[in-house]
Amino acid sequence: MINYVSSTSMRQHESALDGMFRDRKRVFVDRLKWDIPVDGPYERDQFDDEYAEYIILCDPRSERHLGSLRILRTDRPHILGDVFPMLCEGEVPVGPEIRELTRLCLSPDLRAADRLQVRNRLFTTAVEYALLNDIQGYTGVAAVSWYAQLLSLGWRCTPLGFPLLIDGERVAALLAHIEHDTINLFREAGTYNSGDLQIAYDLRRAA
Amino acid sequence: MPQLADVNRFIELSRRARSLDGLNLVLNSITHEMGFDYYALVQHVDIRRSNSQDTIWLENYPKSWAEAFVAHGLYASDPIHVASQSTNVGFLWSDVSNIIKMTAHHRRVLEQAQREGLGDGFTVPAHLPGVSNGTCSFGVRYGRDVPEDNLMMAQLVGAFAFEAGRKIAVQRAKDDYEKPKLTTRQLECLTLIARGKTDGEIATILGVKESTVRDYVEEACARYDVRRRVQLVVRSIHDGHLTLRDAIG
Repeated sequence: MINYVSSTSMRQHESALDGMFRDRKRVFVDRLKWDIPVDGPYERDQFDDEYAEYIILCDPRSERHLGSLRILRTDRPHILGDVFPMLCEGEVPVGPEIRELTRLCLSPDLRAADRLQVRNRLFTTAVEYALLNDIQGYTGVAAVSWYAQLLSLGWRCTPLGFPLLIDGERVAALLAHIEHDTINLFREAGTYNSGDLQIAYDLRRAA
Repeated sequence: MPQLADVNRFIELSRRARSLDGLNLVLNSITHEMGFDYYALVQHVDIRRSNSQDTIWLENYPKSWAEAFVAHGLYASDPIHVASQSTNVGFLWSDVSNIIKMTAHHRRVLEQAQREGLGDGFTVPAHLPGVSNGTCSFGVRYGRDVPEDNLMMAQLVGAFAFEAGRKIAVQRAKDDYEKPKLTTRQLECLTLIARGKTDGEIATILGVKESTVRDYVEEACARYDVRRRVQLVVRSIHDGHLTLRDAIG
């Protein structure tokens, strides 16, 4: 079950948010050892404010968090503009038509095949969200070890600068373009996943 | 100095390349622009659709080395290849001993490469679990220095080259896919199945025995390598044997 969460709808999504912040701590702090703020059992930073929006995928039965993405406005403080502007060779792309995707978090409890499904579902939803909201591109900061995966989603990507070594990891900034044919590019790449997961879960329940 | 504009031009051209020849040309040109002499894009792509594997092998290595590499199966004992399996970020060949424990055999492979004229280089691994894995490498002639300033440029170019190669492999597999052929009788049965008729009803409509209808359908399932009729109907609509209008009736 996909949830779009913004500051106006946080109340209805308390359990999804709780699961997400907990898994974000398990993934980014406990596993990946990122040096980022911790808030009790949660990983939550200064960008998780009233302007942040989230795409959260939960198991429709147990409501368990499966995976999530954070969407930040780029005309406000955000990661590329305020923490890593040096990753952009030119100006940091900002504006009402550009958002930043951050904190892609897949539940550590997922099996490998499900991870791929959850990843595809989250990014497909991000593309649909962008098309519905006149967003033309997503910026993001990612480790280069992730590049093959990000590019394999099928969308048109432009690097914003050369990779730099930050905290021992080679990271770089990317702009993913959202265009009229992006959904088709996902389809061609086999990563379009708008409803499969829901069906898969229903089948499992029926079996 | 590395130029982002050059990387972006490469990305545009490699995206537009519809064939391996096209990709070869753009790879060759960016390789020299970055100050390297050689490139090799090697990748194995699992094509789920046809349950087959496609291997992409584009390179301009010294000919004798490339031949020895294939003929003597050096691939498996090439330390660069071995190291590329255990990392997801680009590395210098001269640093390979920091990634894997080098054996005497590994060293011999590298020495042989040098004799054939291949010096140092930079390899960008790219692995997509269960889908494809491979490397994009850039090398210099033995005796030349690698262009240190351009390694991060090579890192980006390698990642985008891998994606361009993967797209071509997937497209190639789709083009190679041959639609199973169905007979007129099989198509008639399928159309009626799609409209919800039972075998008995189909037999009456076509004026054949019920067991004959079953035989037609089983044979069609075998040609599509599917077990269930619903799969058969969906696949044959997808392939254009039936239209939705046929199925709706």
